[in-house]
Amino acid sequence: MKKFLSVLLSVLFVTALCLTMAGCQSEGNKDFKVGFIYVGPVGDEGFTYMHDLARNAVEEKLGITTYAIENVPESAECAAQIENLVKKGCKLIFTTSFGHMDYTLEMAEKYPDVKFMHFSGYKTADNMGTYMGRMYQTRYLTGIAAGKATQTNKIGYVAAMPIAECIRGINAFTLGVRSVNPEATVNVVWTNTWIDASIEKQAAESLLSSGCDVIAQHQDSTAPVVAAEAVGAFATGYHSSMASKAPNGYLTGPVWDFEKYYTDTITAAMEGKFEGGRYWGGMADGIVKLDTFGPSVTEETKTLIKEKQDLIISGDWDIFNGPIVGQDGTVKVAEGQNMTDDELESFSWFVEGVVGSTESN
Amino acid sequence: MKRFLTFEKRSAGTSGGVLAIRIVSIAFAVLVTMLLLFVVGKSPRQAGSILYSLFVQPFFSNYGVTDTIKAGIPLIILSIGVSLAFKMKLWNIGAEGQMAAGAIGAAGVAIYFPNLPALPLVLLMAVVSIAAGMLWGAIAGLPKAYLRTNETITTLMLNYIALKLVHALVLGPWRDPQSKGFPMAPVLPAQGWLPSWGNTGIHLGLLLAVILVAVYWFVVARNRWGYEIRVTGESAKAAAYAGIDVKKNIVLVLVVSGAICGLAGMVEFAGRAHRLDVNLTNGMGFTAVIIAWLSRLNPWGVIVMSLFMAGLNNGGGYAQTEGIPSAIATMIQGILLFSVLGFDVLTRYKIRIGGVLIDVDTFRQRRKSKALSAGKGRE
Repeated sequence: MKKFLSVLLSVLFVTALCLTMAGCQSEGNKDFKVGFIYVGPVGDEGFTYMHDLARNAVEEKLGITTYAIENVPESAECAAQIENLVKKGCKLIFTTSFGHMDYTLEMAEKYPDVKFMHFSGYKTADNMGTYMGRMYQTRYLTGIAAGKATQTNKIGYVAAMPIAECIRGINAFTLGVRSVNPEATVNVVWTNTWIDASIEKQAAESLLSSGCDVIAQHQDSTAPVVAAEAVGAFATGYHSSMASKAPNGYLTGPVWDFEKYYTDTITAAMEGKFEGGRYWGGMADGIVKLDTFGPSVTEETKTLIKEKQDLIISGDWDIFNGPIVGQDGTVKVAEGQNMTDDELESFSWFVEGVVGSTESN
Repeated sequence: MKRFLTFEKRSAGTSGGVLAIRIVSIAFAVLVTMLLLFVVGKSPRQAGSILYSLFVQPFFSNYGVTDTIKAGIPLIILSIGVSLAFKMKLWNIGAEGQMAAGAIGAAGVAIYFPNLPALPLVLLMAVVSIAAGMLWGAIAGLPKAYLRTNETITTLMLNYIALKLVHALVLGPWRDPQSKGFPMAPVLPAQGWLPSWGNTGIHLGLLLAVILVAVYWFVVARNRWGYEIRVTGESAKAAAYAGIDVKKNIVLVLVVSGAICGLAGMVEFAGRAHRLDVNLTNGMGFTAVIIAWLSRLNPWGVIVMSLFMAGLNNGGGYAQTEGIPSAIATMIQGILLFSVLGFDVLTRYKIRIGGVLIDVDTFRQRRKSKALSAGKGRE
């Protein structure tokens, strides 16, 4: 018994020593520490994975030290983990899920010397900004591929929650679909979860059995893509390239690329030029991209997509430039009018061609 | 025929024996963990840092302790709530839902009476959250008492109903108009936040939790009603024979248990989360069931185990900054709980393997008698 205790104590003692010594190394940028809070696991093959891919690349490129904590719930527990990163010496902390917002702000107020960037939120402070990508731009392009691919003119869309971000994506996708195929409809099923492979699979299967032959998704797992491939339907992915999950039916997908954004933001913070504010980058900035095309996408479709892509990147045209007709048939955005960022952030109605309700089902 | 391995029930262990077994079980878990970390390629030094961040940092570093206490407050209250029901062998697995019901009640008060001054607002939130928890407890308690439904199933199912209700509310009528459509209720007005100590975030809920623990101790150990609960827990038939109204107590205990868990919802809402969304309860109601078991329904044990589980949970995050994924951190936590519960058998049974008897108290007595004989000379 005593032996056990003494072993235990000496282990603890040694670890304490190790810890104090670990703080002593310093070479160049290694001292600049950046923290990341992830809502999901790095192995999700999607959203968190894309953040982590960029984190590792930036750590290597800039020679800085980074820490990541995965599976941090969107509850008060999040504050403890942010504080942990602060105590680790992080000077810049990225929190990557909407539900981390209030706790990020709480810590930003408690630690004014540390900079914070929160993904997808709207609250800011002197030392806290937000960042987000205009994923709807790539969703529009994905919609073109889906509109060209469908034979039944019924496209299924598995979506997480009836919030502005998802509604915006569905609308952009539908506008893309209808730009090449005015007959097609986009049928929405809400899952009320960001990630739950079995529910996502069920939702996709119900859409497929009701006659949809293309499945799009605003979910964090690959289940909808897999479900479509299983019955020989087409699919578009999200977050990361899901091509390997559907070698035959994969069309393309809207994907993230955070590397440039993280490099720029971290470099600025290292030089003392942290700006915060509200970053909402689009295809022109490279934070959102269109994935490579699957085997069934024709050259004609690719050309159509390329034209629109160039137009978006040039900044001369964006998806929600009028005229836009709502689900109820009335003109919501008149010709010559453009929706503002504020309107896009609080989108609560569907465009014509969407079958479904902006209320939860 | 003599069996190779036998378990014999033993009388309640001395607290010294129980403590010794706890320490051995933790040491055993640390050893297995070291082995695991070695297998995944960590050096002893890295393994040391990981163990430190998991088991020491949450309890002995400055901010670690405050975060552990903050996370422990709702766990203490919830565990007291379920412990009361468990005392009567009523398996209330519904703390999660009762907590959610309480949080709904408190959030409702904040939404419909946002302009109340601090004290009335907090008191009203507490009253409504308790009432909501009582209601959730009663929905399980009444059918249990009068229709003999299985309360394990009903309380479990009521969890999902309460959580879906939160979901429906924050997606619908209670959705914060400023939340850009995200499913969450508005932030609680600042005067409704429970006062906290300095900038630590440790709030008044801690005092409430400690008071509840003391009241629980008094009721169970010193009070007539507590005696009825204990007797009914041992044998409902004997209790009925002795004139105890078992049905009344079933309803009463589940209602009070629900009330306490409902109050935990308000404490977490007004003390830490400050807004209602689906993540507020975050599985704490289920953790409370584990805590109640680990502490064997002992009120002081509840405090220790709640803080232990809260710290362990935070430590799982801390360890990730030492270079292990959260899956490994969760595995280590599992190893620890498994080991603690596994060794727990020794406090309840004497185990005979072959000819060797393993019994905590005999070890102690043998040592005692050795010490005695050393003083007195040869026996």
